[in-house]
Amino acid sequence: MNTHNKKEPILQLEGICKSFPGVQALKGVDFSLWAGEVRGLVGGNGAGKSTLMNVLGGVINPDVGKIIINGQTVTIDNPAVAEQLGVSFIHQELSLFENMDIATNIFIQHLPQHKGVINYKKLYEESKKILDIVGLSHRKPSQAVSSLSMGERQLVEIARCLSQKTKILVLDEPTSSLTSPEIQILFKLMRDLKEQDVSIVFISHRFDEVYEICDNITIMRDGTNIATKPIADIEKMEVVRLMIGRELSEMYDHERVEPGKDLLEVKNLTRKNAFSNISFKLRAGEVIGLYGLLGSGRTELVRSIFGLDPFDNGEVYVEGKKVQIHKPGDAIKNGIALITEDRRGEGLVIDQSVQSNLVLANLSRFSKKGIIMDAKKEQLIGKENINRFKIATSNLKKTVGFLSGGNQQKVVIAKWINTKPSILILDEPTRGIDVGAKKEIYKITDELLKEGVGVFLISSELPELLGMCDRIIVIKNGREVAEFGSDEITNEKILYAAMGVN
Amino acid sequence: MKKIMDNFTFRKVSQILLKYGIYVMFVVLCIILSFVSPKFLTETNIINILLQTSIIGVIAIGMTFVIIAQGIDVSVGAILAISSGAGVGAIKLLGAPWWLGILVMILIGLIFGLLNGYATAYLKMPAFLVTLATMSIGRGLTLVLSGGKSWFDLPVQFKQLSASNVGGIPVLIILVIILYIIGHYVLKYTVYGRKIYAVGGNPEAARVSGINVKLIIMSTFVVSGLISSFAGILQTARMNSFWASMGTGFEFSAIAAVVIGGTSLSGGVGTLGGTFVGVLIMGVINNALNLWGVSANWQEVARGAIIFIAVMLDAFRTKYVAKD
Repeated sequence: MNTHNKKEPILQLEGICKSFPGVQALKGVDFSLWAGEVRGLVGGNGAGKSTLMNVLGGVINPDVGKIIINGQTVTIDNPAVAEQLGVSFIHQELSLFENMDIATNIFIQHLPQHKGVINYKKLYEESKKILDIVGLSHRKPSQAVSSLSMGERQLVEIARCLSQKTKILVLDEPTSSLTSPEIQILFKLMRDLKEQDVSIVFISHRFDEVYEICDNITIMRDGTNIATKPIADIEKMEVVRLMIGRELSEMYDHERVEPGKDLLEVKNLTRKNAFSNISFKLRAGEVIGLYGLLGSGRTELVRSIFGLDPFDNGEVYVEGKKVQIHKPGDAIKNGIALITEDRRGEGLVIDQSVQSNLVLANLSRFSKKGIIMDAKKEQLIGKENINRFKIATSNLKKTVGFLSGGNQQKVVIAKWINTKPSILILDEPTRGIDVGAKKEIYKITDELLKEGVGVFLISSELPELLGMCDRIIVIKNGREVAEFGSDEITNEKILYAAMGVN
Repeated sequence: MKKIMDNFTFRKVSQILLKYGIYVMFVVLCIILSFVSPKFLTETNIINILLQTSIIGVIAIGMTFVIIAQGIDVSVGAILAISSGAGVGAIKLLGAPWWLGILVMILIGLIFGLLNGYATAYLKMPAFLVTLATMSIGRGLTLVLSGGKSWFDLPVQFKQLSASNVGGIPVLIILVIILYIIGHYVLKYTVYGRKIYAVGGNPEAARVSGINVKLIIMSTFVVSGLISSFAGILQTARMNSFWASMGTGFEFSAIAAVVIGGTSLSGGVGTLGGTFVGVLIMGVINNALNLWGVSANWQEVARGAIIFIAVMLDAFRTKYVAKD
């Protein structure tokens, strides 16, 4: 970094703040970037990396803060402005038009044209040049993007950036869908761009890659910039420590319950391209944690156990008996409940009332003979749920979409408790909700454990796992890589296992 | 602060209007019409309106089920025609007794409903195109079966169905009202109804909650098919005849009535009470245009405009919900 000290930074973000309902995602972040630098940006899920870069890309407007590019204070209120200022952004989820050809995708924003008629000859010639640069010379510019592999599509995205006068390139987890030869092409490209004084922000969970390609590293945690250092001056272990930071707070006053009978046993569960040979046993009163980075197969695993997706191999036992679960209804009958990570997408019927949502997973219980809904039973359970889970709503008829995120989540949890499950699977139960609601959700979980429920908890938040779990299973690329008992769990051990750091 | 309050009241008022606007609109319309045309509020005219709208009204019940579950069914008019054609054809050509004719009609409705539902729910074909195709199949088969001819002079039971009345109210109208009460009860008070709303509101959440989403979607098309064939029976009885082009354009009027009645085309929202009023609004406007002697061509324009406005209101409604 010393070599840059004479110059002004190309980009300065000053005091950027951004709140979403229930969470403050960015708490006054300062961030500067120098010309021709590759900067690694690391941090746990929810640390604010993507939010910060979305502010730079004009996708999210900050509440407070200043953006200075080349010494000029600028307002970036939409992606087009970012583009004009030379900021290109490659997102985790690709944004290509799959139905169109490669060349059109590369030049979509400035197609070569004459009086509105596209000059295809020039389009394909220019595209060919760029494809050679990004290592896609074996592909024709006229080929449809849908025929490319995920990795190749990523390279087309980069080609699109190259067709513009990019000064700052943001790559959000670009390697997660690439094969290693493709990664090497990407890295070579990044080095070439660096030569041309382009600055690159490289967001990644993969430390090996960060150490291979980056000059400097910025570590974020809880919406703040914790440290920025030259990569040569900081050990991987130190980075991990900075990422985790906080000590276990008193948020988790989880009392361990003596485990009872076996509730759920999974043997060698395998689903191609998602997870393989996963085995574990969950007992009454026990919490098993499942940790894995994005794309590790953790969500896929529980979806298969719950019957939402099929699996190829393996067996599932409930209370010692082998069960066949082909659809969620089968899982519910066997006393399994799944609180999915996508609250709005899969948890709630957002335009309908709190009441209807609360009874949705077990309609027959609140009906007369499974045919006619029983309004009295419904109201009774509704009131009980509101009291027990402290759901803040003016009444049961209120549309559930009008509640806060934390209260919506409580409705989802209550809905599943109303199925009287013995096995509760929680997938990211506290994502995007405020501290108070979090605490209450932990309290509810504790109560259920005392009643003899077994809990399988998936979370990206290490403190949550450490505070709540009796055992933690770590998976990476769909395989179990480590298991820790409560006495041996530490933040570092889990992260090292999940990231493959030795 | 004042602005926030204003915004708040504005939103509240518009939400109430969006919710109950249809009923207010209906009442206002009737009041205006009763002043403009003295004939409007006479018993004969009211019964006339109800009779004229009864067949569309029946079809609109099934359509409400389908649309709440995020579907659409444009084959209803064709199902009406083919089931009437098959039933009356069985009576006229094969000498079947009247009840067998009616059974045939119901059976045809069931088959078309199953086909529509299976293709949409299990083969994941788009509902609009599926039912467009079955509409064409139904219309074609009707012509094949009847050779384009009409049949008159049906067994006396058909005439009895349409001509009899209870306390001056035609049985036909009573039947329609009973159907609405049953349909309303099913949607609002049964487990099945609750599942339809859940599937229409968020199919993914419904699936995770253990609801058989495909089966529910298919069932709504079966309801629509059966009810369309029932509408075929009523129409045949009312006119005491079958003709190949019967039911033409009914899908259009039924969808319009459902949407005017506040059922959202994006699914999950709607009531049969709303549909009932939607049907009446369509009927009252038609009646008014007739009373004023507006030409059939301009009536067509007016109907289109009403539907345009109804769909526009639906779009506003969706926008409001999306904002919050």
